Amino acid sequence: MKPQKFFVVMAMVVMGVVLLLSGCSPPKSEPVKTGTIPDGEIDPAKWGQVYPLEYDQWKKTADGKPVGKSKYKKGFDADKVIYDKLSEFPYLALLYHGWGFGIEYNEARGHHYMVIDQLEIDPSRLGAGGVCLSCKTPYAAVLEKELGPEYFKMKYADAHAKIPKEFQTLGVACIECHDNKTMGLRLYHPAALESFKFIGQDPAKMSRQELRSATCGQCHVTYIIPRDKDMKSMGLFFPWQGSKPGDISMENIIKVIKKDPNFYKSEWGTGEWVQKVTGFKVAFIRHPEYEFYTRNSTHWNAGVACADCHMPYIKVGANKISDHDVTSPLKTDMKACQQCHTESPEWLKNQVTVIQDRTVSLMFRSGYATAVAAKLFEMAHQAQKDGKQIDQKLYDQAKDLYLEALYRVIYINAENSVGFHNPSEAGRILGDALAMAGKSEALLRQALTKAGVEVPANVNLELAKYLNKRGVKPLNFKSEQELQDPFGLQEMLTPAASLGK
Amino acid sequence: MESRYEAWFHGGAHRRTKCVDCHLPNDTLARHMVWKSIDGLWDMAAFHTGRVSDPITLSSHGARVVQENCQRCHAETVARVNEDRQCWTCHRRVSHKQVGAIATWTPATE
Repeated sequence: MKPQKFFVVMAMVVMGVVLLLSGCSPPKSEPVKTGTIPDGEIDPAKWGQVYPLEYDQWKKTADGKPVGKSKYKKGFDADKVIYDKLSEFPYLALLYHGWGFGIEYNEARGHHYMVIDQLEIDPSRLGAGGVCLSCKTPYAAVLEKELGPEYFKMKYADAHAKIPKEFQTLGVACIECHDNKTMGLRLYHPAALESFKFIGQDPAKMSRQELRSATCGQCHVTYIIPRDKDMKSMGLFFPWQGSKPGDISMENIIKVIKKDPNFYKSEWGTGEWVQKVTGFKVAFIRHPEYEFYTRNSTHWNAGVACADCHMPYIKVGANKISDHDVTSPLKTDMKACQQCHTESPEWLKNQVTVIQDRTVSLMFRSGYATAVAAKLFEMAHQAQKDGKQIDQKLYDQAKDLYLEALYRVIYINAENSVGFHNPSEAGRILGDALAMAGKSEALLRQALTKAGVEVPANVNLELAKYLNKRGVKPLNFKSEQELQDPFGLQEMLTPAASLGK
Repeated sequence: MESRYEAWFHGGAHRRTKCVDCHLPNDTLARHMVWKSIDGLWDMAAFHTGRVSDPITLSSHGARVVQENCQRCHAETVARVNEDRQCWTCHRRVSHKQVGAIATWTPATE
């Protein structure tokens, strides 16, 4: 054989062997696909045919969780007791008096109940109209597309009636987090798609781990409903302008909700509601979990996503899936925590409770301090009515400080972890609130004294007036639900006799 | 590499797997052999020149190979999960340094 010929033959043999070897790799294992999900499919049962394990877990959000696992968050529990936040934290009844939140404000019951809660609550909570559905039903995005801006301002009941009958109580569904083709994560809510851009994040380019928090952050965020001059809702956005990912601060949110002209279109209305006690038109803050948690909390900085703790991996049969029965790790005996922490469930739970106790004590301090300042504004306004002169400079400074304190109090009271998501930030925010409310009170006392009004050492908060006969039901103070200051010091600042419960 | 070796045979779950089951590609014999010769040559050079980092670490290629092998055996388990983190970020004991004498190393000795 000639050398060239030999070389060609050898080359062919080698190539043949390589082809043979590489052709023999085993087939990649794929889950059996029992069907396909059409684009825009909302019905979770259809998704469930393809992803039955996740669907089964998701349905469990309807079930109550074991009683007594969490000291402060009991709304999910199997005993089905509805916890009244205004009875738990009575100062809220005074501060929120004047609109829906001051009438009926309950602890959340979990994802399954998000629309049902709206249908059962005092109708004053739905005054903003169709816009209230935006985070509660997957159909909101459809309605927004079909009806345009009309959707935001139409009556809640009318907007709700436009949802197909069988889905009128459907809460968060598969489509709100998942891509129907790949099961991958993506954002769905129009307000979120818009608002993540305010912090310079393109929702289309987020990594999977980022989306494991951002999908939750579509709804677990605070938002603003801008109003027209007749106080009709005009839309929805998150007050994140001027913030950055991982740094959406309380201060920046307040800047936006106070209508910083850099961020806020001036023709949009001012404030969402009028606080009855002070007569001030103010904004509101709702469930700011995403903002609060992502701002340099220990767990966020360690790369932990919302889903790592609230939807930990579980094994179902042979498959590993993330638990779609979304709940607090406290309810499942800290299993989620034990993925990283090797301590016992009892030890871990104690860590959580200790943090929450401290936060609750600060919630009481700052909440009552702000309530006292509110009452002094009421006195100042009465004095003005009686023809007395209130020093305008002192009044303006007091009002500024009061609003800063109020927004901070609303922020932490609306956040759903009682401080745990970011303990030191909770302490910082409430500490600031306390200092601001205290100074506001001091300035008001000075102004009132100057005007010849005598202010008692312990201002009577007249809480009974705000806690009882609320709304159409009507609701009353439930003393058995009132939380106690874990350190028993509140009595020194606002003695029981001055609360007027 | 002795301390890693010692930690591996003290470790439970993966003691029946061989080094190459995780640290060389195992999808096709060709790829396996190609990388066996490349890695082998590197190891020989490293061993004889003494240029081995202490502690020894995984290259980015090495990490990709290990990840592939985790998913090769646990394919059924992870079939319904799109996870982009490396398995051993959470399953930390797999990385055979938390058993045996190596487990007592402080960060200063690492």
